[in-house]
Formats: sequence, C-alpha cells, structure tokens
Amino acid sequence: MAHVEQHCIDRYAGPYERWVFTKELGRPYAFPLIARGPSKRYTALMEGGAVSALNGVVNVRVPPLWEPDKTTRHITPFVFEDDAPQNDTDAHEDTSLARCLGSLRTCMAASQDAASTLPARFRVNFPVVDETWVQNYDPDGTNTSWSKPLTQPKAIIAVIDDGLPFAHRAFLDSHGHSRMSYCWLQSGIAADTANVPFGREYTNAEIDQLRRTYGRDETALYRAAAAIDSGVSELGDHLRRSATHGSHILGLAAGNDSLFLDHILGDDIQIIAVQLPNTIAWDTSGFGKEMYMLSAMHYVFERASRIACAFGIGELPLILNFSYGWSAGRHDGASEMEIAVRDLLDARQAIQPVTEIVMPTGNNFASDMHARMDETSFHDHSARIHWQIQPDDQTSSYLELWFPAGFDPSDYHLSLTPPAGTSLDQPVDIAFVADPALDDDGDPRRFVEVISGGKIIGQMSVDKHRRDRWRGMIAVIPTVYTRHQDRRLASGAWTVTLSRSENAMPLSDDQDILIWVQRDDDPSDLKSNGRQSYLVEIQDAAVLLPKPPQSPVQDIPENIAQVAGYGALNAVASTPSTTRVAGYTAQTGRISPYSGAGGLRTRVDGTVEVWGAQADLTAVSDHSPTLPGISSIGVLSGARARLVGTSCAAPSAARIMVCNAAAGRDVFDGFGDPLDLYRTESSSPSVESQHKARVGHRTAPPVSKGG
Amino acid sequence: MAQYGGIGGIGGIGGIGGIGGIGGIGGIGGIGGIGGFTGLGGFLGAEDTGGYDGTTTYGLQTTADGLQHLNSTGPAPAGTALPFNDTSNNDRWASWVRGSLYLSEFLTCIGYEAVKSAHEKSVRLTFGGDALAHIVLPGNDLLASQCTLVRNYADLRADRTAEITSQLGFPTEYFAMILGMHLGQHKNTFELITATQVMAAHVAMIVKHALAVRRPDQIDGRILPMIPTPGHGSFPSAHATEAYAVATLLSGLATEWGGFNDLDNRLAMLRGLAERITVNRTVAGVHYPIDSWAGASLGVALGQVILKMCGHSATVAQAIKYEPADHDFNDYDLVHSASDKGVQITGTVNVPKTDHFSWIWKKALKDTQSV
Repeated sequence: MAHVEQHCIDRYAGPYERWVFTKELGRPYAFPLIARGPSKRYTALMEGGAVSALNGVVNVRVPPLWEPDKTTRHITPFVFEDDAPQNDTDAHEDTSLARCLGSLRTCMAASQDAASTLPARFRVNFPVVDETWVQNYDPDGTNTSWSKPLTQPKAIIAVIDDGLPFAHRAFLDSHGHSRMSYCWLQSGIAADTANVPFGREYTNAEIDQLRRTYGRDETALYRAAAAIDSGVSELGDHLRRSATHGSHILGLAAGNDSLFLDHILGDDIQIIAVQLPNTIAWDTSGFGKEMYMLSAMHYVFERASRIACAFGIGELPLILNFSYGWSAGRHDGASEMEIAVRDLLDARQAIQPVTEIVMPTGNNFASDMHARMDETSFHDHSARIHWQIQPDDQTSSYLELWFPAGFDPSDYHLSLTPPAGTSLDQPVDIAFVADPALDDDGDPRRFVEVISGGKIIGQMSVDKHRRDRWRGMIAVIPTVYTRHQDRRLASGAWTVTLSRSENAMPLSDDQDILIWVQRDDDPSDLKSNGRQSYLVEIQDAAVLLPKPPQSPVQDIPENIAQVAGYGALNAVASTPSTTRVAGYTAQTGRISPYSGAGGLRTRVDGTVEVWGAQADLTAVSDHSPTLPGISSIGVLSGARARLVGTSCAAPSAARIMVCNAAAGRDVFDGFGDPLDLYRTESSSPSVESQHKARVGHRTAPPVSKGG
Repeated sequence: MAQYGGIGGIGGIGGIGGIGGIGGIGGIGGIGGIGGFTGLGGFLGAEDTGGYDGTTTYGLQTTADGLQHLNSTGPAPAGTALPFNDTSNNDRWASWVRGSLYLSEFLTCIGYEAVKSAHEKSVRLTFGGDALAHIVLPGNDLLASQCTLVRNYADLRADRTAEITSQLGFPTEYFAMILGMHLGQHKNTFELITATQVMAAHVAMIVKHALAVRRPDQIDGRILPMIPTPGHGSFPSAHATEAYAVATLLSGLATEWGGFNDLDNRLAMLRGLAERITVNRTVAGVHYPIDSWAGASLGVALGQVILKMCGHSATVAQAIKYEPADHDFNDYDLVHSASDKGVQITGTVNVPKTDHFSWIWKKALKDTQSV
C-alpha cells in the first residue's frame, strides 16, 4: 500500500509545496529541475518576518529590493542555500528539504513581526540552477558600466517576460545607443561578481559594447552574452527561435519599429527589463514562480530609482508591463502575490503617482475553467460538478474550490469520484476541518491521498488559506504512464462533490463557492505535454431535451451558466490597482472570444451583480476574425511575429501609457470609450453587465499596424 | 503504317535512370533545374528533350507522312562542321550535357586516399595533386557526446519545419531569395550553382563513404529525427559542404557583378544562410555539429577551388585540415576562431582556370542586377 512518510511531508505548509516536492505525490511529474532534484538552492518568499533570522540555519541571499523608506515590505523575496552535504539519493531529498524547512520555521518564531496578524511564514519556490548562481553577490554595488543616457528620461517602460532580445535594434535611441538601461536575465549564466544574486545583468553600455563587438550577427551576440545555452534548461535556445513571447511583448511595449509608427518612444523613455526563467510557463501548478516575479518587480523599481538618482531627480513615471499570470487562486487581492504587488504599487504611487502595473486579463474566458456554486446548487445536501481530465495529459492537474472569506465550512466535506469504469481503493473524502496533527505555524490544514490500485494518484487537501478563507484543492497525476512511474490517472469525467450535514450552515444569498482549474496547456511550446482540464456542469435529463433554437447571431446568453468565463480572470492581475487589459478584435470592435472577464454572479432574484476584480480596459489582441493575433518584432532585428492573446493587448496599452507619461499627459489620454455592445446582441440588464465585465471602462487604439 | 519509329522510339523522360530512390529524391536521375534533388539529380535530365506523349508522337508521324510529298527527292545538301572540341558549342547542348563536362573537369583533378595510421584514421583529398583537405575520423566518445547537442537542437524543430523539409534537396531557392534571382534572368548563375552543388556533394560522399560515421539517431535513440535518416554517412555534412561552397561561390560572383548597392548586407546574408542551412540539419536530428564543422570548412575550400576553375584570379584556394573536437557549430566561430575548434589552414591549392567552368562563369557574370 502506498503511503507518504509523515515525518517528511508535514513540514510543507501548503498543498502545492507538499504535492510538488514529495516523491510519492507529484514530484516525479513536476518541473524537470524539481523532479530530478536534489537542489542546493531554493527561491522563497518570507512574509511578516525578517529574512536575516534564517541566517545560521541556511545561507540567505536577498535580491535588490526597492526600499525607499528603508522599511522592509511585508513580503520579501529571497534565496536560501543549504550548505549541508547533499544526499544524492532521491529517496531522501524530500526529507532533507523538509527538515531544512522545519528548522527554518522553528527559528522564525523568534522573528515575528508584531504588526502581522499571521505568524511569520515563508513559501518555498523553484530551485535555482547552479550555472546561474553568482559567486560574489554585491547587492549594494552600483554597476559602473551603466552609462547615463544623453537625454534625461521623462518616463520608464519596464517589461517582465521570457526570451527577451535585449540587443534588438528596436530599443536603440536616435544616437544608436541602447535605451535598455538595465536588463536582468534571471536564468542567465552568472558572472563571477554581480549586483544580482543569480542570473546575469546587462546595462545599456554593455549592450552597446556587445552590439559593437558582434555587429550584425545577433545570434553570436546572445551566445557570447550567455543568453543562449542549450545546456541550461531554464535558459535554453529560446533566443534562437524566430520569436518568443518576450520578444513580442517587449517590442510592443518598448520597441520602435515601422509597425508602431503612431506611438514612437522617444529618447526620453528608458527601458528596464527582466527575463524570467524561460521555462517559467512549463509548470502547470501556478506554484513556485512568485519569488522570480516579485524580485523582478523589486528590481525594476530599484533600478528605476538609480536612473532618477543619476539625474538628481525624483522617481520617474513608470509603466511596468507584466504579461503573465495563472488561473486558479483567491482572486480577492489577498493571496501572497497579490498582497506583495499591491504593497509595492501603493508605496511607489505614494511617491510617484504615475506608477502603473499593466497586466492581461488572461485567455481563459471560453475554456470552462471556472465555475460558481451557490445555495441553489445544493440538492440533497450536496453539490456536484464534473472535472474533465483529458487523455495523454503528461502533467499534474489542479482544481481549487474556495469558500467565501470568513465562512466556516466545518460541516462540509469534499469527495472525488472516478469516471465510470474505474475505481478507487476506498472512497476519498475530506472534511473542512484542520488536522490536529498539523498544529504548527502554518495555516490550518488537512491532507488525504487518493489511491487506486495501491498507488497514489492524487492528493486532496483543505486549508484555511492565510487563516481567513477555506480552500479545497485536488491535485492529480498525469493520465499517461510517464517519467518512469508505474501509476497514472484514469482520464474522463471525475466528479467533485461538496457535501454537508443537515445542520450545516447554508450559503447566504450573497455567498458563492468558486472553483477554478489551473492552466495546463503549453502555449510557448515548452514540451510540457500538458492538456487542459475543464469543468462540466452536471445537468439533469430535462435540461438536455430539445430546446427552441437560440439566436444564431447572439453570443451573450441572458442567463449565466454555472460554468462560465466571468471570474476566469488572471489570478495575479486581480491585485487591486493593477491595470487589467482585455483583448478585442480590431476589425470588428468586438471583444476577443478568449479574453478574460471580471466576476459576475446571479442573485436569487435573477439579476446580475459583479464581484472581484474587473477588466479595466481593452486593447487590440486580434487583427480580424480570420487573422488572429497582432504583429510585433521577433527575436532578431528585422524579424516579425504574431501572437494571439491578451498578453499582447497589455503592452499595447502600456506603450501608449508610457508615451503619455513622458509627454506629461494623463496616462489614458487618447483612449476611447468602452467598446459598444456588438450590434447583433440584444440588450438587457444581464447582457449589459456581461458586456461590461469583459470590456471595462475604456478602449486603447490599435498600436501595431501589421495586418 | 508510321514511317518513323512510332510510340516510344525516342528515350524516356529523365535521361539516365529515370526517377530514383524514394519518391525521386536523392537518387541518380530525376528532373533538374532548381532544387528538390540532391546527388546527381540536379543535372541529369535537365533540358533533356525526352519523348512526346503517345498521341503527339503518332500525330507527328501521320503528319510527316502527309508532308513528305512536298519534299524533293535526291541526296540531302551537305552542311558545315561545328567547331571542334570548342566551348562555343556549349550553348547548343542541354544543360545536363554540360553537367557532364563540368563534372569531368572537376573530378579528373580530384584524388582521395583513406589513411589509417597508428593514431588516426582520415581522408586526404587532393586537387591536381595538391593537398586540398585532410579530415580526421571522430572517435566514438566524441560522437556520443555530440548527441547531447543534437538533442538540444530539437527544441527548434517547430520553428524550422518549413525550412528543413524544403531544404532536403539543394536549397537553391534560398540563395535566389538573397540575390533577387529568377530563372528568366539568371539561368547561367543557376547552372553554376548547380555545378557547384553537384561537385560538393560528390566530394562529401567520397569522404562520408571512407569515414563511415553512424548517424546520431543510430547512436542515441532519443534523437528521433523529423526527416528520413539519410542513406549515407553522417560526417561530414553534405548540406554544409554544398551550402558553404555555394555561399563562397556566390560571394565571389556577386562581388564581381558590382551590381548591388547593398552588397555587404547580401554577403553577410549569404554566410548567414549557409550557417542556417547547415544548422537546420542538426535541428532535424540527422547531423552532429562536428559534421557541420567538417562540411563547412570543406565547402569553403571547394567553393574557392571552383572560383579558381572559373578563372577568378582574386581567390586564393586554401587547403584545410579538420580534427573534430566537441564544439557546437556556428558561423561566427567558423570565421573568428575556427583554429581553436579544430580547423587548420594547411596551405594553398594550385587550381588552373578550366574551359567549361570559365565558360559558364563568363556568362554568369552577365547576370548582374546592375542596381
């Protein structure tokens, strides 16, 4: 009988960590760097405590942080290095990491931040690759190679993405010097001494020197800059591809090219860019990337300060585009990442009001990855939904179910039933009650394994996330035998059932249970071989009887289904005060079919109201229905590429915003009214609400001219 | 009754051999012209008159019967002789016939010897008795090590599929794109390119045969190439040999044309294209990077030899030696640090101007764009 060694796993505070780092659970299927383990260095987030408290147990390294008032932000990204001898047998790797974490957490009890309502805590993220580790890290050092631009900057455009062609000619100023002031390749091969803790930093002067040395052979340039190395999986050959996600986004946001002649970025707009590990989109858990993302934001803010400082001026207007995210999460602004982003944004806006983080709403509107249950969903004390998991899915799949904040679901429990024709060794069921054995500084939580044929195929968990909102989570293994494992999940419609006792507290009229599944596809061709799971409403037979035909031209239904795209919003973009950008089709003026939308709920009386973060504006993400996507630059100077998705709507807006900021105009100058309801749609209060949840308050004009 | 032959009297389509190998690719024969074929296929059959379809053949014969009564009777009047053994006749010949002439001029000068000594096995190529290339057999450990690079390149397959599958044969269209060439204006240049490709392929096949190196997918089962495993040895890459020979030739020709205002850019792109064609074969999973090093350095040497045969006096034909070492291949290193990667220039090759190459060169010089 499969089992998980208890001394090992109970050290993991969160369900994703437990799943991803435990050999008997999801580790064999995790991001290859984790799967192959052991690692010496891990990225992590510290919340409500001082990172320095960990010194002595492990070596701690903090990336460049933006701390204008010398106060530490509530959540701190850091890296820790375990100097203890590495045990190279993978059977013990979980144990060694778990023990390390246990020691850390014990010593953190002393570092409690008095102002925090939560115990000091941290989350472990992805490991750091050896080749990217800087031997002599000088965090306070000023990189003397940075060259003061000839023109005093009036605004800064920043981009965080993957595969960044930082030496592309689109980023040169009118004198032929790079406007790319700073670029941090987080997975770049390290120099011996650097101002970044890992990866490689390039300044404008270094980029100019590379361009002079390698002339027109940009591939040789990137090779020499150690920005291409097929031996380092997190870096790889991405800059040998004709285009990358990052080349497209960076070009749209910050490049000058004949495609973007209506919005030329002058010499007074400097660029700061951070290249995430190129494989960051591989893992489908939505887990493990926060440290890279948050340290990237800190780096942008910190280097922006350095630029302003060099000119003896205050903080400059800054537009940061971050076309990235994941699908599952709280969506209420209270996850670690949302809190950290808000904290940074609020602090900088207090100093420089023109500070914006622009993010896409996501591409999951039509992917059936979100569902809403309310009191009417319960029949005979239970509510059910199908979770369709596809065959040939080579990655783990994840489903999250969230109760309303503050709701006590102690009389509720969650169960999972396999598709017809397959069985579990015993019914699997978990109550929303903390396991007393896990009585430590982590969130109240409970775990149970899903076992079939004596093998673990999944994990069910409940946790009171950040001690104020209960979450149920299901993680399951791939549906094929892969990674040399002798277990797989049966594909098909799994049934997720939420049951409650007769006396359980019902949901009030304004309360919903919200479900999201994590993204599980491979848009950047990273060879994860994931397949997207989705939700299916379980309908009774009467609903399936023939119905009168619907209007062939009306897309927006009067009634919102249980499984619908309203609320299938990028879970990172739901941070309050980020600028959320949806996508529309230029030729039709119609919202793009995949474009993520804000949350909507149907009240008991049938009317519709909004909940949570909403789309702020739309920008072009498709040229026409028959020519999806928009054009931008490719990796090498002169190359073009098309990209489809709200990822390219966000930088289109960010570009106009930074041009406005540099010109001293309102950042939204030139943006139009929200898109009209399309002429073939029939207006009604419900339809209008649905339309608004998708298009927001304003519309960006097209930026890219390529048809 | 038809008087002349009837159906099937005059040869088949394609001259020698017809359509060879799998699907016409790679065998002897096939239809010449631009692209699509490797080996000898680029020439053999090109401009061959072939035969008419059955109906036309029959119609011609019945027409001949119907017209014969208009002719006079008696002996035919005598004609004049064509110039004897003279390139001025070349214009009269089908291009596949000239292909044989180029081949003969070139191959009569080529010699090769497979050398097995105590410390190495290698092939030594000579041209007119002078050393041309000395290529050393890679060891089994090196091949195994290079498989890692081959696997890493597989990441680019989705990006390069169109290029890889359309470059299975001679990728002449890709060179045409860079110099703005088309069949109407550049017939002679295309013929010179084809001659160069055929010679380069010939020489590569000699070396491949002697050194007999297994393909990467035959060593490492994880490589799983996206195109058929070719029916010849891996080392050196014939694609690299051909592409670098053509790039060398065209760089010389385009410079002589003096017809481009942006010549430097085009010369850079010719080199970039040769690199890309070469690397695409590693992406596809059929070549080690050391195959590219051997092929590219051999190709440059052959391109120089052909320029000399054309009478291009500014060219110096250099002999090379390649001792494979575990490096990835790219053009920047080939230009800047080839000697660190195993390529040595070992001397110069004495190459005289020849009749047929200089004939086609002279004509190709008139293909200038004169921008």
